Amino acid sequence: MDKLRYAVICVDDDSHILQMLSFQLEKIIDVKCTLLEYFTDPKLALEGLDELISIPLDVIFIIVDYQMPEMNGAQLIRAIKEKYPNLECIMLSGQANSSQVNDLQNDKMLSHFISKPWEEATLFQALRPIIENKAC
Amino acid sequence: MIPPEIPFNEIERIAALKSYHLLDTLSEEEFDELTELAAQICGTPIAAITLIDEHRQWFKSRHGFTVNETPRDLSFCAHAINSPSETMIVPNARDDERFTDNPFVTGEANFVFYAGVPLVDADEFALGTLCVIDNTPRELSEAQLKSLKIVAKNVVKLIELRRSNRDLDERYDLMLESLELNNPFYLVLNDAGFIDYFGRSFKKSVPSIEQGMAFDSFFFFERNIPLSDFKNVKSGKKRMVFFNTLDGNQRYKCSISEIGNRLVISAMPLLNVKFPLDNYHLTINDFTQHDYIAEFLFLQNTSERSLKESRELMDRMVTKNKKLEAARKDIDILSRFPMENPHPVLRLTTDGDILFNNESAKKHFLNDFSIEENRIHDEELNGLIRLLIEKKDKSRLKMFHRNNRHYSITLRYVEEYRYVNLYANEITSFIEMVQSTEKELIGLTKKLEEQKNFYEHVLNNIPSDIAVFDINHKYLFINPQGIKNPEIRAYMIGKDDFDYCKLKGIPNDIAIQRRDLYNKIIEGGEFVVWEDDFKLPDGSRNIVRRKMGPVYDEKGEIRFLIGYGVDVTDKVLAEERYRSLFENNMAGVFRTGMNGVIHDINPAYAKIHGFDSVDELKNVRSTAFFKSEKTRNEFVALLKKEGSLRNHVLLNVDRYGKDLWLLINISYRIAPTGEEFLEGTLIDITEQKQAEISLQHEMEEKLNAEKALNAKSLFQNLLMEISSKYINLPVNQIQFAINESLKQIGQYVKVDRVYIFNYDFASQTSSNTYEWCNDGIEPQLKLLQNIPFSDMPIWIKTHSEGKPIIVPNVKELPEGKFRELIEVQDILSLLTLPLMDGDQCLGFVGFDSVRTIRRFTEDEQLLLQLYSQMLVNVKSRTEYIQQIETGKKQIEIINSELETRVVEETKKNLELAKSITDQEKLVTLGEIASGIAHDLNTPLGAIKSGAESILYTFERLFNDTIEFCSDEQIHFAWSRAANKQVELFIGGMQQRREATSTLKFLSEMYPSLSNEKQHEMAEGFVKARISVEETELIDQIIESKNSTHFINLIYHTSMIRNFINAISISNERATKVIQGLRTFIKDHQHGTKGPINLYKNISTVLSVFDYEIRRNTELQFEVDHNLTVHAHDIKLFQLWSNIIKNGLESMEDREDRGLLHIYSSTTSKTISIHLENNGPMISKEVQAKIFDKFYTTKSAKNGTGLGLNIVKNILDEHDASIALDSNELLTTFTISFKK
Repeated sequence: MDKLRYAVICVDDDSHILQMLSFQLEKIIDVKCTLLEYFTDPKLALEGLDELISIPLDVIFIIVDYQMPEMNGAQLIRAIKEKYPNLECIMLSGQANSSQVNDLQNDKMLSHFISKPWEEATLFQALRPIIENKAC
Repeated sequence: MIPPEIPFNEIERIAALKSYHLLDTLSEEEFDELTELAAQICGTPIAAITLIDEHRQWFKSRHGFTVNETPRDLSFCAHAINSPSETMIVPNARDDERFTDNPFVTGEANFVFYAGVPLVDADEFALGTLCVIDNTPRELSEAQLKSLKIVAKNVVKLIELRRSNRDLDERYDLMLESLELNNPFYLVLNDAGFIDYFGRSFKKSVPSIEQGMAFDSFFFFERNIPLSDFKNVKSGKKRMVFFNTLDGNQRYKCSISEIGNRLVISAMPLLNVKFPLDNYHLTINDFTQHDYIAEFLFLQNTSERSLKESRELMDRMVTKNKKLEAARKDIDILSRFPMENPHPVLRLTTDGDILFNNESAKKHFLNDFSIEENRIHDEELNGLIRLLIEKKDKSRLKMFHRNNRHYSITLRYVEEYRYVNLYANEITSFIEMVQSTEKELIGLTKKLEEQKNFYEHVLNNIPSDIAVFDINHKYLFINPQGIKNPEIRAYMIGKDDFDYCKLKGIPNDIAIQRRDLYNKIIEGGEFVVWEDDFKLPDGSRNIVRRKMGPVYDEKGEIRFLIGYGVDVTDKVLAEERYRSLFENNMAGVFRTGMNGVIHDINPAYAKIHGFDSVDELKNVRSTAFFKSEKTRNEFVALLKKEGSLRNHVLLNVDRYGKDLWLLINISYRIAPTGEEFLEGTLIDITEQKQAEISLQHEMEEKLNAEKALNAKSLFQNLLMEISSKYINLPVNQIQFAINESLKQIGQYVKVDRVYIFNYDFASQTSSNTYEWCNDGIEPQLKLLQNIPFSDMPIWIKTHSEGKPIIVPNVKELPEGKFRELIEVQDILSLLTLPLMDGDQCLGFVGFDSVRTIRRFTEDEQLLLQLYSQMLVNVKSRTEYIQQIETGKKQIEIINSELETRVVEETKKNLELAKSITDQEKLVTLGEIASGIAHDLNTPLGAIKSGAESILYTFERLFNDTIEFCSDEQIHFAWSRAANKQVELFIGGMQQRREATSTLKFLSEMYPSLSNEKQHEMAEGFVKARISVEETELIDQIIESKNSTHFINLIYHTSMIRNFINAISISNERATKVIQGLRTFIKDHQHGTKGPINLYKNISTVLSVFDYEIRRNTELQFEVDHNLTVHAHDIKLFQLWSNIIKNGLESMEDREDRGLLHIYSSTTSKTISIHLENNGPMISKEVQAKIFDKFYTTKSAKNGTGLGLNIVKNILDEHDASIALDSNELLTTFTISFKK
């Protein structure tokens, strides 16, 4: 088995979305060296991230939904950025507009915002440069 | 005739009369009004206010005659004043022995009746009378007498008031004068720089100075400061500058302050030796800064000391020189070479013969001392020599001044040889030097003396006492004003007040008193002021205001004390006089601030306003006495406009709120200190006013009584009766009523027939419409119908012109058609009156006398005319009523139309209401749209991606996999996917772990498989979610030739299955959202209520507004999680949305963060939700309308005006209530549900 070097995280309280994402991401990500992790609970995602990084794995990006119970996507991203300011964060959300998302964008904490429903191509277009940058 | 007696207090009475300054003044409206009132009250042609002067009576006001004055002897009033408390009434002067032969009684004036009320002032002097006079004998009623007395009382008040006002003016002048007293060098400039007032003393130094001239015509400020520079210098913050007269001769130090619009310059001339002291009226104020006194005392010390010092200096120099000389002489004597001595040397015998003299002696000495033939002829020198020999002194030295030369001469007696040696030394240059020094010193001293004398002169010329004390309270200086006798004055220097008392032989009370003051000053270190009030031997008073205090030296220690006094007798006496006038005046005198604060009032003022003493008004403002704020404002505005009001009548109230009529004189004034105030006098004229009013009532009553009398005339009564009948009658009975009235009138005026004719101008005919006939008289009505106008031209013409036709006797008429027509009817006399409606003649009413000749008096004609006019009125009334009836019908029609319209309107309204409901929905829809977006977008995302993924997977399945698999395998894969619920996805870590364990399992179970194959299989199993426990399947896969494809088949098939599941579930979710929306939009009226958790319900709303709330608002959400109400959830949703949205919008304009605080509270009966925001206060007007439909405070673009109306409707539906509380800080909507 190849040596694991990278990781990608997806967080959405809707598991169907995660399934779709996993199917799509496997098309462009080399799973031999990249770990794809999925969380429906943002708090667990935060713990999982710490765990992956401590392995250590290079987390390429994290895809986050906005509307989630207990902690919304914006709060999650802020929490992540506080610890890992260089981590690429992508928001995938059905929310039309939210002040918190706006604030995130203004604070340059979002690499991309992709609205649901999304085109696979749009997602890939956003992710590809990030992945290629890691050259895996 | 008996001349009037002279009152016992005549001298004082005349003095009092003069003090009012009333005699020979112009007539004044206020007095004339009272005179007229008196005449009116008593119903006399003549009334007057008389003042009894020494030899005449003078009329201050007169009504009904024109004479100004009459001799006192002939005066009625001069009698009247002898009984000041009584009204003198002369019912018939012709029968009164005092007046029978009085020319005013016997002559043209024809005075018969007289009544006079003495005018008695506060000091009980009868100044004159208010009198009424008639030309016939008569009497006055009780009421008239009483009223007359009241008017007289008011005359006195008015007189007193006049005097009070004069006093006030005097007082104001006094105030200006006191300004002068304090500083005669003051200037008051108006804002244009012109002189408003100037101190007297300027007149002496600048004689051309006049009021109204420009300041810069006389003076200029140093450093050319313009006058405008002194504006805005607040009083109290004075500015100190210098100015000069234009010729530069006099310099002034001054302080300037702005008071009101004026500049007040308080100047002080700078004194110098050339200062022409006599030209100035110096006051104590010039010395308050003690400059002059200090200067004087300093100079006094200096000049004496310098003189002494210069003398001492001289002496010292001389002595020093003497010693020097002596030493030199000794050397000379010792020298054996007198011939070579440069100074004169002589040797004399004891007899005075010159034995020897050297060259130098020959030069001047022999000449200067008259030495001839070997002998000295200078007596003084000889005397000195003799003295030397007699006393056998060894040597002697003396100065000699001869021929402008100074010699210092030393004599030595040499006893053994019995001769005298004389050594002289010319010291002229030295002496001259010393002398010039001395001269200089003396000159300086003289100058100092001069200065000292000047200051002494100044001090001596001050019209106030000045004394300077040393720190032991001994006199250092006293000016002549202080002690006039120069010897005593000189004696007192170095002494104290006790010495003075001893000297004068008076008790030392005053000395003790002064010593106390002195101790007080020493202790306190400050000036003390007191007043001495002496009674002079002639009985007059002398009041001196004194001030004493310390003067400090530069070390801050008391150097000496200075005391001075100024004679304020005149001022104090004037003030006291004023005070007494003020206190004892009948008129109220007052001084108040602009805000009504009472500064000063007299007892009369207090009494007039219903107070017992002045003290009771301490905390009262004069504003309290105005009827209303409005009347005060009007009064003050008028006063400010006019500056002062004279004899202004004002209706105020007293302390009990009772009407108080005042006659006021008031002025707006500015004190020299800049303070604005109101000053004036007032008298209570309430009685007079009430008398006037009651008089007016009386007159009205009289008039009414007369009217009633007239009305009593039967005929008028009749008319009134008839007319009143008409007024109350229904229209259909009018005809009967007119007939009835014709009867009554006919019977009353005793005629045989009364009738009414109608003129119909359209058909040019006339008809008899009503008729009454006396018994036995043939009715004519039926015969007299539709008579053509052509048959009665005179009638038509006369009546049309509004004129009556009167025929007293038909037999007297000329023959003709006119007479015929009447005669036919057997008429003897006739009166017809036109019925005129404005210009139009409607017909006529006629009165016939058939049996007798009847002449109608003018009065009767007039009354009948009245009757005819009444008939016209009735006619027009009838028409009017008919019109009303028609109008009513029209209104009925309109009403019925209106009903139809109302129905239509209602329909429209209903439509409108519907559209409003639609709008309501839209409003809410918009608000929730963003919330819905998320709920809808998420499942849509899943559906979309799911569909794409299925497509992708199918492609993979059909392109790479399915052709390598058997039908059995395909069938197996599908049924497995359909039946086995596999996990949708697994995380990478878990995948790895599973792969590892699967690999381990494979390597154990299938060791024959290649390593590579094991890896591939393990990964495939994990991916396709084939568990190691499915051993049968694993066997099957491993044993099959196409194992890789088979795994892929299983994997893809279950993926497709999963995707379809996901799509299906997502679709269900989306449908639910849409359904909810549909329920809300379409059927929300029919929705059923259920238990709603308020916390959750409101949370949903808050999430909708999340963006807006976070943007600029701090949210505090403190609603109990367990509150449940029975409600439509969507409606509640709407409810919160509206209130929160409004709140957020109201806070939009805030610069800081807004606050939205939502919390709950419960009572036993209610559950309340409070929505609080700190937006702007909602005004009371808005609060009243805020729940109205379409009412919005937002611009048309932002607001539908529906929001809070929706709220109201929802609340009604839920039997809930809303309360609004709004203040500057918070606006709270409270929604209360019943439990």
